[in-house]
Amino acid sequence: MSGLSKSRALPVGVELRSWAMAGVLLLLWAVLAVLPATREFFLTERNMVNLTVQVSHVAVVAVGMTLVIVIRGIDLSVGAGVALTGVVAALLQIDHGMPAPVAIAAALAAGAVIGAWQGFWISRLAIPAFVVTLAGFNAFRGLALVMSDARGLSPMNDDFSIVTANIPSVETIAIIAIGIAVGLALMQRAAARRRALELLPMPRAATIGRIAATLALGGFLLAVFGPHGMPVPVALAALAVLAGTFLSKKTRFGRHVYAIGGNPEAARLSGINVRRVTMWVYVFIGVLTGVAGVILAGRVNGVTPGNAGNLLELDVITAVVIGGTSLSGGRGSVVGSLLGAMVFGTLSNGMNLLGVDSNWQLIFKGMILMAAVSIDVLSKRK
Amino acid sequence: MTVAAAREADVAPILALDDIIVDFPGVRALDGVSLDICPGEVHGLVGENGAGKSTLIKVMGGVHGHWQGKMSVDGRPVRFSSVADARAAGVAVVHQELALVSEMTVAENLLLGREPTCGGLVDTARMIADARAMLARFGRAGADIDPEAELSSLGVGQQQIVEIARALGTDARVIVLDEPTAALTDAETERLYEVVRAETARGVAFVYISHRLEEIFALCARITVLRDGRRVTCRDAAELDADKLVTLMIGEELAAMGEGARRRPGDTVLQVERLMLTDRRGRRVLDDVSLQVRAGEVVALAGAMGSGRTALLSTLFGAARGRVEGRALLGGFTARLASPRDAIAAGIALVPEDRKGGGLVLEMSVGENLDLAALGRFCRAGVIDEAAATRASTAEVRRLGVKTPSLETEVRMLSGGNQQKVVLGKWLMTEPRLLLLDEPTRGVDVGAKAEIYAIVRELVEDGLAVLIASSDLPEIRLLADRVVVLREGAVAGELSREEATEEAILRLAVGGGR
Repeated sequence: MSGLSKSRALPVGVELRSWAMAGVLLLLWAVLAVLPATREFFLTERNMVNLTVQVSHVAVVAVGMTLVIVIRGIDLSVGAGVALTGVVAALLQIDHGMPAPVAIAAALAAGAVIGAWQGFWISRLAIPAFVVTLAGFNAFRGLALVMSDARGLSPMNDDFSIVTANIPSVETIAIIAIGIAVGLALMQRAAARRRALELLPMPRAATIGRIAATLALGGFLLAVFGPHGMPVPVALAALAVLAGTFLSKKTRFGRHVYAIGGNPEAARLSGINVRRVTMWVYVFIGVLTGVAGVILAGRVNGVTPGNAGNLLELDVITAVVIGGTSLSGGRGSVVGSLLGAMVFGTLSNGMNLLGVDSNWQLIFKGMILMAAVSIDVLSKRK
Repeated sequence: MTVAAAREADVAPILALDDIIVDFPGVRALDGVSLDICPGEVHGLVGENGAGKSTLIKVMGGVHGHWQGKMSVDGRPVRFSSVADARAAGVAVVHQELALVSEMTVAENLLLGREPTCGGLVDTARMIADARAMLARFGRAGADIDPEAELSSLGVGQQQIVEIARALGTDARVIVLDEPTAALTDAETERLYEVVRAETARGVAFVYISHRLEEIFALCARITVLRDGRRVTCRDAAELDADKLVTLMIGEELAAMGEGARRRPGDTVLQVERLMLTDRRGRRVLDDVSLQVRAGEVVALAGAMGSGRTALLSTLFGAARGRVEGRALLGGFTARLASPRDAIAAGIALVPEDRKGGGLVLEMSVGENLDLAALGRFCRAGVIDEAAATRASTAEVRRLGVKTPSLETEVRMLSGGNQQKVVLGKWLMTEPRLLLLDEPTRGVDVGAKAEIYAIVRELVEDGLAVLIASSDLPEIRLLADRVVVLREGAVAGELSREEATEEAILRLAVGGGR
């Protein structure tokens, strides 16, 4: 057994998927940067800001969906949840004149309630998540329409623009620079600790890859957001990804989530409160759905309850699955889901720039989901 | 013609396996096994749990298609890629877990896939008549079975007969019987012997797998012994006796381990009083069980399959599903048995029977599996102190001698024995007072087995109380200070170390009859 090669001795499987996804993303960008029809528009500061803002709410929900799918669940109700939480915020702003922080807090609370409601049925009564959230898919949309009398709610009050404003340029640059420094320092610390604990050193390629990726990401962020600052939705998505990564990798809760997804029976026998963890996972995605609802309400400057968040669940699930999270549970990473969302967003953005008909875009999106799931299934069958 | 005579006359084998190798991730399940089955012989296949018997019969039966080596039927090389392939070549396997459809009738099961038809429609009358004829081979035991009854209304023993009758009915020339008598009564077993003998007279060959060595000697002319995926020997039954066979099965190494030092147990750690478990269908799984385990003592639970060994352990661990009555005192205080969480808090640990089902999260690393049950000890405000967890896991890996390239290696890459040590280590990290072991060495190679025994002994000497459920009688004799034998959920008797011979245990387990 000790003859195992290092690549099998270290659990780099999920991480490899993320690297592959990053490669796919760069390849797509390279193609779009070269194609005659897109080369003038694609790799511009303006388009990159657009792309990241468009992806932001998908990425936020994808963070929650990653954990949901890791515990072998699914949440089909996030699109309707976005509409409902958006309506809560918009009603408070428009009909009751509440300040933005109150409206935002209420939307997040509504998201938490949605999550707790679904989590209750799924964890306590063991109703399949597919059914519970399919019910939510209909019911939350209906509730949003009833609460708003089926009217479009707009515009939001002026103070709601904090959701869509840009963080000023100077602060943005400072935050990104600090982020790079902290990232590199954490890597350095982790390597030192590996030595101290006599763990196998990471393969050189992985170390170099991580440093290069951190620097490249930092450079990209500085180039795109340095001049005019980072839009708040992008910052929220970044925050959600960082929080989700910390939660899933560094906390007891996260470890329990992966254990339940990998083997629910072993998790139960290890004294893990499977019901409570399941409940919190759905509350978590509920809150993130609220964040996405707020972002969308801000971007559109209002909420159309019949349309807001329509088909979001499909975009999010596709992003999570192409990001390497296994539908059979137990495996997946938040960063992978972010990359999946970026790849998916890039394809939409690229097809828009290429003038591909939106109906055809749907067909392509479907095919991409099929391909991603097939890769997941086939790679396990070997 | 006797088997010996047949071989002298150099009768060609029907089925011959030569140098079969099967690899699973992290473990070589079969390592160059050869076996030949001659017409009209009953060939005994013995070995401990995990020796490779099931893998071998999966290869023969077409269930497992990934193997290296040669297999031939009547001298023609074959490679079965499905059960149907094997059946077509005349090889039928009757598995221990029956492959019947419980919602269908007996007749439908017997003729599944080859229903007699009349103008494209199933000829029900003929099907029933055919089924009755197939069952008639079993004499009274078969005649008692109504071909029109739904299978689920039959007892396990009768279902076993249906399964065997089905294999005979396909005109199989080699029939593999995997623990066929596990659920049969004495009368049914006798009847099975008669059927086997009658069929061999017609030239049908049997591969007979059983833990009951007296059955092997009663039926088989030749015996192949497997150990750790290798063929130890293939000999005429006449050259062997039960002792020799056991030594061949477990190896000199373990046979020589002999008796451990006498221990002097301390205070009572676990006191079980009148424990009952009723499952959701109202069946009484545990019936008025009382026993005690003291510090520094190993108590073994013996008994047949379904006698309640596993149910007792999972009830004590708060993991049983159903209604629990009675109580268990832990160190003198009544323990709450509501959930594994309660049990862990009370200082109980359970190494479950099926390490892949209940013991390990295969997607996780060795380290993550090790600290999973004790994670609370390494957390501050819900954040894992990875340095502390890693240090503790490393210490556990060293103490138990887990062979792994790294703590971060996915646990599924490890061999069965090392996986089992990881499960054991995971539970030792919770620092239990009472360790429950359910079949702790199932599917583990002999080397790891000896190491696990040594670890258990060491733990007991340090004052741990151990309650172990095992179907492996040599294991029980090797480890236990006392043996509690269960039968149908109740305590059938208790034996001291000296009294606990295999025969005494079996007698209590089956109710004195045999």
